[in-house]
Amino acid sequence: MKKMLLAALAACLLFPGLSKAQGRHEINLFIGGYNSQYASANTNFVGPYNDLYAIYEYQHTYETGPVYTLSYGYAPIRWISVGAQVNYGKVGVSTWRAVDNSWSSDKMENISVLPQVKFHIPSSRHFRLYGKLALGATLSSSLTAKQTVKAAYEWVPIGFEWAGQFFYGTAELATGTVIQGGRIGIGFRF
Amino acid sequence: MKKILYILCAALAVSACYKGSFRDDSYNVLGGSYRYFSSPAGEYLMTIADQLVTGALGELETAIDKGAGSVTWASLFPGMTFTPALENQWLITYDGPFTIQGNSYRTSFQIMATRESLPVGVSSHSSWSIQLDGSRTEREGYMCQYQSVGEVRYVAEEDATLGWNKVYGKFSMLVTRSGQKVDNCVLTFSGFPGEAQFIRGL
Repeated sequence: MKKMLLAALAACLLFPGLSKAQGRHEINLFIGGYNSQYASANTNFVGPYNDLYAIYEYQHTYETGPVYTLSYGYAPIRWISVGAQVNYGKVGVSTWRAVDNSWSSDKMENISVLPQVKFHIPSSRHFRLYGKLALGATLSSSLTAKQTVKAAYEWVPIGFEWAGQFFYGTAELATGTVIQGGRIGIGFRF
Repeated sequence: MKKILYILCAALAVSACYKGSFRDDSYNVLGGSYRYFSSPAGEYLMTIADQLVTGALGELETAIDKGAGSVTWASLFPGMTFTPALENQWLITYDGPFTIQGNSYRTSFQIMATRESLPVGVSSHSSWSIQLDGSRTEREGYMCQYQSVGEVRYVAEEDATLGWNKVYGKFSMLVTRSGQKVDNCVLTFSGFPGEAQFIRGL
């Protein structure tokens, strides 16, 4: 999956001059990181063991993989497009408990759906900037805990696309409950 | 270059030995020695036996020195009261915040403290026998009820300037979360505090 994305991105970088992308519809496939659940979980680390919760509750060590994002947008006017993004991320959890020095493992998966608004700033024929705001919900499930649904948001302060005729490469900075960092991907406009 | 490597290796070896022995090292708390427990629950109960009880006894001694009858004392335990019971016997009561290693939670206890002997030699402490009954309410629904099992004796020998040299007796602690039992532990002192035995999972 990762290799395919990178290959497609490389193709867009190598052949940007096919022509500018013109359609009103766009589909993007991203790979990004790092997973916000990983970030928030790590900040919950408790220690030293000076209260009962810290002593008897599990202490978590998290590992994570990339977050995959599929998004669709429709541009009713030139500089704005509306649509939605679907994100999938997985967090592997290694758990250590202080009181008896025991380890266990779990796996959490997150799927989030966020309607989004994207603001385009046309910069040149083959290059354009954009910003994005998305609000929605995240469904989290794991082997040991109940499924939860939480509100989700994402803000992309800056992203850019460099265009081919149909396919284009894209990269963006993002922060919110899905990822904290950035994404790279490919897009298809028609 | 070789010499530098040798020196580095030697420094590493020395620091490794130091680190290895540190956990079994002791320091002066009860006037004797307190060894780290491999279980953090043991260290927690030791803190109650140590800081909570000796802190309360220390404040009781200070209050007695000041000629207190039934007094309210406010330093380590704001609002703590000492009520004379029999001759050489006081009831210490407290309900308020108490800090263990930086975490402050509501803690309540009663200690019936009986003075066995006045300070001897250069000792700054009396010897006491105590009966403890208390609880501590913490976050996430956790609570513990701790008590002495029978009498516990805190003995100050002639050179007890900082704390109590020896402790005899047993403490138990029931840990619950939202009313459900999580653990039951016992800490047994048989003199030298560093020799205390801790058992959990009862």
